[in-house]
Amino acid sequence: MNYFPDEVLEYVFNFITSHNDRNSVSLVCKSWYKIERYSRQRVFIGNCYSISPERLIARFPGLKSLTLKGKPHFADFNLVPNDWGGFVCPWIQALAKSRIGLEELRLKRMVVSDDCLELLSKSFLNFKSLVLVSCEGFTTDGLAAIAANCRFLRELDLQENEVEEHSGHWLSCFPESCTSLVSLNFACLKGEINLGALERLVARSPNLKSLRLNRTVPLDTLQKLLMRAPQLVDLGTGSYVHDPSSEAFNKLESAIQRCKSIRSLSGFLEVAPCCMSAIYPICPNLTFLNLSYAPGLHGIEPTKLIQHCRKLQRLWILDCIGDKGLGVVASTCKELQELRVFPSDPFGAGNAAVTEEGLVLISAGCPKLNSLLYFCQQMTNAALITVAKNCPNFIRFRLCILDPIKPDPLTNQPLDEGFGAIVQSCKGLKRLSLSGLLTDQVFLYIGMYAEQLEMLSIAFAGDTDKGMLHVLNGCKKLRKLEIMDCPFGNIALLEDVGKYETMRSLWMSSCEVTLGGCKTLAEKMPSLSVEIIYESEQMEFCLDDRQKVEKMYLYRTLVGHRKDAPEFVWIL
Amino acid sequence: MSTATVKTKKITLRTADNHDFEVDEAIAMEFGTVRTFFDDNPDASDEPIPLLNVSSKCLSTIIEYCQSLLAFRARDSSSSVEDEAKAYDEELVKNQDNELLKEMILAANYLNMKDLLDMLNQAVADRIKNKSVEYVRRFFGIENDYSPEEEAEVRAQNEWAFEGVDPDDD
Repeated sequence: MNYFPDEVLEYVFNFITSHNDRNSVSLVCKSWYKIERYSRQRVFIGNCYSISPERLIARFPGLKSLTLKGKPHFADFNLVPNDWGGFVCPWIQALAKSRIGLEELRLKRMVVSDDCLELLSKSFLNFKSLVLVSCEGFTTDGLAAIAANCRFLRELDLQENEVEEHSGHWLSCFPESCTSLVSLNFACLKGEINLGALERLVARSPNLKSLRLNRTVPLDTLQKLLMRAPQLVDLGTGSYVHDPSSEAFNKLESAIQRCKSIRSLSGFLEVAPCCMSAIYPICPNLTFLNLSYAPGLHGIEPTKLIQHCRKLQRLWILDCIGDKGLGVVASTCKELQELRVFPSDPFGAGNAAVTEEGLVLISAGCPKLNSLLYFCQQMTNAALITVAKNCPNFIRFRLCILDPIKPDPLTNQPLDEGFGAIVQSCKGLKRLSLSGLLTDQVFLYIGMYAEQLEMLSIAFAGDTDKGMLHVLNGCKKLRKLEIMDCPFGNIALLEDVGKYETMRSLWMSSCEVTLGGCKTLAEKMPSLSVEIIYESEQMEFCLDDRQKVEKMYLYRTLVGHRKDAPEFVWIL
Repeated sequence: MSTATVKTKKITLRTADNHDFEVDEAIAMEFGTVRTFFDDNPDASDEPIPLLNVSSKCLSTIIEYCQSLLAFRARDSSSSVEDEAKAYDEELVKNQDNELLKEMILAANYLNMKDLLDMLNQAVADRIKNKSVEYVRRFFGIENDYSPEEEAEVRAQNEWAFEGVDPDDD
């Protein structure tokens, strides 16, 4: 009989790091539950309303790293009004009151205030890492508090946040004694910062590996920073504009050549194409290149750069690269795993955009491709079938045809067969976004074949409730389903109400579900929060059960209805 | 120039099942418990050192491991040697059944051998990765003492609140 003493178990548990594995361990028996919960350090909460901070703290007193997600994904398309929710304050307040030694906080789509940033900065002596993605509600004053008070800060990473900018003074608030920075990303800020303070900060941060600047940092400052930090692994340039015949530019060329560790490059928020040649020496080592914020690089400039990047694994670009440019990517980047092609002109006629041809070329040239986000003019079934054959390893496949209900232009057919081929071939597919003209048939295929699918995004697709039912009945691992402008109604919504307890959330907007249908669902499933989200003018009109609901968001929760919902949210 | 024959001191280790293993001192010193033993008993005679919690099967594998460890250390510390050492480690654990692996962990813990323990723990973690709760229970020979209601409650909390990371959250 093997008997593992507690301290040996704890030691073994140190090597069990994935959240799922730790969850399994906690279910083995009661004593394991206890040992595991005291030793779990990293917690991921995909929906901040699924549990309360108090229960988190009660279960995991050894918590060091917390990840929280707030608003549903469609908030990115402005479908969720501001003030809907996702406030991080109660979490920080509860953690501050407890004895938790928080070291890392990662937030996505949450509302963050200056007050709670200040509380955060003062409550946790060992706080090391703050990552804010698509958050809002704070100003540069909150950043100043973090800079000033977190004595051992290693990481401040701001991605795509809406920040009210009072002044650039926040960066100067890092004290002279702060020498621990490993990662600093303020690319999403628009305001000027004190360039001297930035140079001094970089100079006293010997461990700095990742630095992403905003557009107010000029090229000659970039040169000085690179001279101080040749050990950088990840660089986001600010403004990249200069006279290529100048002294400053020459200095930049030598500075860049000393940076032999750079593997990841982004930025070029403003760019003079004639300066790109300075980048070529580091291109052969790049594994990640993000040119999606560089509309100033047009024509063949992106392609010229990419031709030097044979080791690229992840590429984010704008669609002005064109199909031909994607052909160059396909023949150069044999290690490519992830490609994101963003629209440079989402509302325009786009002769600069890419089509199915570019995608086919990529699929043929890059067999390791497993993650795709592709905004394009058009797509054909034949192309999707070819892509499915060439790349069976997709984990994420997101296709966004700019005209959302466009059929296959060659055959005028819906794209059901094309997407059907994708789900049939890519047995590991976890995330899928559909677009184009689509009938119930595509959902039949998804329900039949997409066994590992966790997240599905649908818009303007399907004919009847059968479509949604195929998905709900077939996709056993489905966690997030988001639907807009589809003819799915109460029959689909109510057929299997227990299904929603196996999912994190369901979003339906501009569909056929009615208030009555939602009420029935809420009545049958008290463990779900069924939210009806109004635009503020609508409130008086929607008390009729037969009225269609504009926006519904439902999610499973262990702690009942949230108390922080604004007036325009009705929780049934 | 004559090469002097260095007489390596031998130390005898006695396992729980009463087998004696004679090993070079260098190898015995890899065992934290043996080091502590000699620290506490500097005048220890050449009596066999009892290793009460280690079977002969375990000890012979551990001794093999130490011999390779010392051999790798004697070579340079280049990355190719590191790779070879890693491959050796993998081969060693690959062929062990779950029972022996668990015994080895207990032995390595008793003998206070951190590097070996790390390596074995990682191997166990890899073996239960992505496996069901029932599998983990069987692997460790643990009986479930949750009531169905208690288990359902923990399961709900795990799945609804403390889930795995999303595939698109890098």
